Amino acid sequence: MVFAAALGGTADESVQDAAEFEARLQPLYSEAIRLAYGMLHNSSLAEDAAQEAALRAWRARRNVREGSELRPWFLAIVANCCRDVRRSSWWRLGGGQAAVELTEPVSPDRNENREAVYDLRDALRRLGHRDRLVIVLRYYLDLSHEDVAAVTGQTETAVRARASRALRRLRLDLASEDDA
Amino acid sequence: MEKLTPDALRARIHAAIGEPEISGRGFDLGAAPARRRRWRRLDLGLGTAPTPVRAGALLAVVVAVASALTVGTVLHLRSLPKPAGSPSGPAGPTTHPTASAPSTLGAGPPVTAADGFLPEDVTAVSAGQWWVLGQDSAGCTGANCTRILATADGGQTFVSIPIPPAAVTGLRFRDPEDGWAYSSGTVWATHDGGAQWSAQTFQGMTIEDLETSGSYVYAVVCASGSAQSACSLERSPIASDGWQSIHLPGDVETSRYVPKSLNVHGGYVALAFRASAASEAGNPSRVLISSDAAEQFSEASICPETEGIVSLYAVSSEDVVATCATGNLVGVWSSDNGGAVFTPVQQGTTYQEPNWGTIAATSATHLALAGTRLLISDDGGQTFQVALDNGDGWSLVGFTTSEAGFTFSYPSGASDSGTPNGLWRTVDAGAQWYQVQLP
Repeated sequence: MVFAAALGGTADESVQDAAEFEARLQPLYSEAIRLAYGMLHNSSLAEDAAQEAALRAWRARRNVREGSELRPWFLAIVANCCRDVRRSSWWRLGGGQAAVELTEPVSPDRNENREAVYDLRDALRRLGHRDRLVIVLRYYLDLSHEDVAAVTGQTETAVRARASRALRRLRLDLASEDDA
Repeated sequence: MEKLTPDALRARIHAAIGEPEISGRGFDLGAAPARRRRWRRLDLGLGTAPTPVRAGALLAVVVAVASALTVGTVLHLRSLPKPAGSPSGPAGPTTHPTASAPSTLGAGPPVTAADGFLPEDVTAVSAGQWWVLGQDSAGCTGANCTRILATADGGQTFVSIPIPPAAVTGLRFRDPEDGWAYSSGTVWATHDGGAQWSAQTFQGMTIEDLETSGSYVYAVVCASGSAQSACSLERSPIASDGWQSIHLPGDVETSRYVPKSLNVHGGYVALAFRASAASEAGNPSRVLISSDAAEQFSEASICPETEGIVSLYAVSSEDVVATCATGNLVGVWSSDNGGAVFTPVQQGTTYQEPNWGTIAATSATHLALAGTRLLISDDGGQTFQVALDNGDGWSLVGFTTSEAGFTFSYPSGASDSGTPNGLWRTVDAGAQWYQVQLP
């Protein structure tokens, strides 16, 4: 009751409501953090963004239509939180393209070309929010085009086109687009 | 353009992004909304840490704001030796401010002469994973004394890793696999986490500084034993040990300038030189900056009316702070355009640190100044609070993230020896510090 009220809830929003909502959200939380990490490349910021998204989701829980899936709705909120982080002044202090060192180091496998790994990471950082979101959802979280479309609010066709453009910007190309 | 199978593409993307270091704590709908960025840091390995030194409640509030920023994950510590003095004379007075530093601040356990392992350098790739280079203080000679301790749990436990077959004085890791140790004229590289080291020798040259960021490792090398420093910048891709000399513009390579700082931040590279003699005509400082991994440099103007630059620290490719020697004291300069223009910070309160004070920062406003004391500022250097004042000197301050950082203490009576006796760490951007317990 106490924290429901603290979050702007009314008296009849019971602790049980919050507990039930947490229980629904909990299975999605690690995926939310991974999405945020893919967007922000920083564990601390990713957890902050996921936490913020959880609070926003709680406040907006009545917007979830009966029978609709919580997952794409929640991941879309996470994506919005990540965009807000990148827009905020303290992110810009890191400096747009200069946000390089806001990010954590990767741990490339010994057999990988480390320069290529770092170069790709830099290229991912330079992508715009929407392009990066599609790439992260599709190739980092391994969502299907259909699921990516549900999160981003686009059609599957639009998602495929955006993914293709983003990959070209990363100087990568798929051997086949029929990989769903 | 490279054509990849879907699985190969996924593998490439996964490798480039990596995996988050999750604190293990789930979300909490009861958490105070907004600005609740503190809890994630609670399990960084502080469990058995000694009682930290508090820098005051006010600073803690400041830190909470500063912690919203996360800066370099590769630790930027100056690895140049702590100067015993300066061209303008001995280290300055140690008059302490009274207005901004209540006597209760900075009180902490005395720094004692260390037995056993003496830390010399530290390098980190995350808040939890770092390496400490140092020497066993007794019962050994030469390279036998060198040890590299590695921790992956924020300093709770350490293991020794193999060392290069020669004494080394500096250490940097770019990631858990790729690292470099260096001594006077040799860089030792490892690409397997320290299991094996291979040497790259720069004949007749001294490695003055080495840093890594982005896709490269950089080293400042200068001709040994010459007042004419004849320095150059060497650069190698992190995994291939392909060192190449980078031409430096102007007369830095041939003039009487000595390197003071190499700072890298992604593709941003800043090189600071200082005239080797106080009587040197012209600008006492030379700062070269590059935003494209040292492909092209431009020259920045900084503290022209002083005795020269002492240290420089890039928070990002835009926000850069520096200290310059102003007589016997040190002053703070800052830039918000990558160093193109530096302006002196107008001190609201005198902090009076000696002219060898070095600086680091977690943001444009949150600074740490290491001198006879370790000072913290939350207003871009206008005023400072004492964070540590229980030794005879502090040096090599730097931050791994917006909250995790290190500094070295020097024992009383040995401040000029250049040998620190303690490694101190903060996980809250300098509000509290504790001495790392090294085995």
